[in-house]
Amino acid sequence: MRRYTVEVGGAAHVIDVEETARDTFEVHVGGKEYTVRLASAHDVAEAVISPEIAPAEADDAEPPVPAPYRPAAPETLPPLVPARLPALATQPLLVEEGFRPELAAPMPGTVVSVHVAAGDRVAAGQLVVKLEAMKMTNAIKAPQDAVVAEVRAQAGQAVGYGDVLVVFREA
Amino acid sequence: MSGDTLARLLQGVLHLTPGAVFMLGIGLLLVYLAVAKEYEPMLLLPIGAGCLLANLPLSPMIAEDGALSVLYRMGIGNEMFPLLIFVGIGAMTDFGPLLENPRMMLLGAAGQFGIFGTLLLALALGFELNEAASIGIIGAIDGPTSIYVSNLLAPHLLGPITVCAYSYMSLVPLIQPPIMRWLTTRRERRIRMPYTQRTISRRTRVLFPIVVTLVVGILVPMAIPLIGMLMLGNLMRESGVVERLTSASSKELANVVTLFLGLAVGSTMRADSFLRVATLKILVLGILAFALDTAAGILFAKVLNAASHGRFNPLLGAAGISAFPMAARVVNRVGLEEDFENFLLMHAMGANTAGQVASVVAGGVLLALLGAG
Repeated sequence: MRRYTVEVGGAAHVIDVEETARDTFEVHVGGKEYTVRLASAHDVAEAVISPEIAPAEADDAEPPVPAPYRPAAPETLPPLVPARLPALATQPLLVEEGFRPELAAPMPGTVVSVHVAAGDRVAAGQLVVKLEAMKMTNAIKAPQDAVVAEVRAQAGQAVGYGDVLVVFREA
Repeated sequence: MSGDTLARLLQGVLHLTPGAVFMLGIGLLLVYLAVAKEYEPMLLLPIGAGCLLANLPLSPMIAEDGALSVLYRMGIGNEMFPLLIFVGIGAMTDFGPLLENPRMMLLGAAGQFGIFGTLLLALALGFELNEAASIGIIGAIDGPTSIYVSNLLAPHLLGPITVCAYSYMSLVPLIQPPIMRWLTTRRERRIRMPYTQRTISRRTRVLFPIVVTLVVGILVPMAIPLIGMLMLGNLMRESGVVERLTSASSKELANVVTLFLGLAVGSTMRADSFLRVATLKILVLGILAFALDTAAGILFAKVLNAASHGRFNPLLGAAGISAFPMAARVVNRVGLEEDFENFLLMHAMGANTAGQVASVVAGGVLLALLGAG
C-alpha cells in the first residue's frame, strides 16, 4: 500500500492506494473505498503510480511502514510527481464492472497457443491464450463477452507481466 | 536325473518364501504406479525394479558384492546420493519468485510444523525418538532430505520412509486440495494478490546461495551438507560462468544419481524389514504428517491474511512444503477453480522454493536435536 498526503488549501487529505493488480487499484479516500481500473497496463507502467520517494527524515511523524513497502514521505513529494501526474490524470479511469478492452498477461511466460483471431466473438470464460509459466500451462480466458479487435500475442512469444495479449471491443 | 540336480535347477522356486512373493508384489505395484499411472516414474520405477531384483530368491544382486549392495554402500550408507541430487535440484531451481517476494519465506517455515507434530504422534504410537524424527520429515515431502535424515537416524526404516515420501509426493494433487478447500472460505480463495514483477539483480541472485549457506551453516551445522550442496548447485546456475557444470548437474548427474538412488533404496525393501506393522504405521503417519504440514501452512497464511487486512490468499500456505513444483501448481489450480483470472502461480512458486530450503533446515534441526552426526 502507498499513502499519499495531499494538501489542498491548507487541509491535508490522506489517500491510500493499494495495487491489487497491475491495472487495478484500491483507493481509500476520506473513509470511502474506490476500485480504479486503468485502461492500459502499458500506460500504467509509464505513469507514476509508485514513485520512488526518498525515505522520510528520522524526525518525520509518519509511522514506519511495514518492510515490503517503500516508506512514503508525505511532505517531501519530489517535484517529479506533480510534473508527471498529468500523464496519469489523462488515463481514462474505468470502474470495476466496466468493459475491459485489453487482456494482459497475468505473469511472465511464453505464449503456447492463441485460440482466437481478430473478429471472433468470445464468451466470458472462453479460452483465449495458453501461456506457459514455470513449466505450467495456464489458460488465459476472456473476462467478458466481447469481440476480438486485435490479437497481439503470437505462439512462441515471450511475454512479461502486464503485456497485452488480446484487445477486445464490445460485442 | 537325481533329486539333487533337480533341487539345484529349481533352487529359485524352492527358495521362494511367502514374504518374498509379497515383496515382489509390492515391487510390481510400484512399477505399475510408475508406468501406468506415472506417479513419480523417475523414482518409483527404479525403486520398484530395485525391490524386484532384491527380493527374487537367492538374488546375487544383494550378495556382499552384488550390484545393489555396492550401490547402497556407494551412496546411501554414506549419504552421498541424496547430496548429489541436491546439487542437481539447486542447479534447476529458480529462486527468483522467492527473492521477488521474500515474505514467502515465512510460509516455508510454517510448512514444517507438521514435521514436529508427526514426531510427537509417532512417539505416542511407540516409535523411538530417532524413528519418530525420521517419520516426521516425510511431512515436508522432501525425498532426498527424508533419505538423508532417516539413514542417519533410523537406517532400518529407510525403505518404507523413502517409498512413503516419494509416493505422497506424487499424490500432492490428490491430498492437498481437499484440505485446502476445507480450511479456507470461498471468499479467501478468491483473494487476488498483486504481482509486482521486480527485476532481481544478478548480484542478488549470486549472493543468495552464498548468504543462505553461511547463515544456515552457522546456525544449523547439521544442515551444512544438504543446504551446502543445494546452494552450490544454485550458485553454479546463477553465476552463469560454469554453464557446463550447471547443465551436467541438472541433467546427467541428477539422472544417473536418481537411477542409482532408486535402485539402492528399492533394494532395502526386503520382507524381513519391510513386512512389519511399523511400515503400515509409517504410511499412515506419513500422510498425516503431510496433511498437518499443509494445514499448518494454510493456517499460518490465514494469520498473514488477517495481518494484511485480507490481502493475502491463504491458499499460498499449502505451497510452503518441499514438493516442487507440484504444490505451487496445486495452489494455482485451486485458486483458478474459484476465479479463472486469479493466477497465484508466481506467489506459490516463491512459497514453494522457500519450503524446499526450510525443509532442509528442518532436517538439520532434527539431526541437531537428536545429536546425530
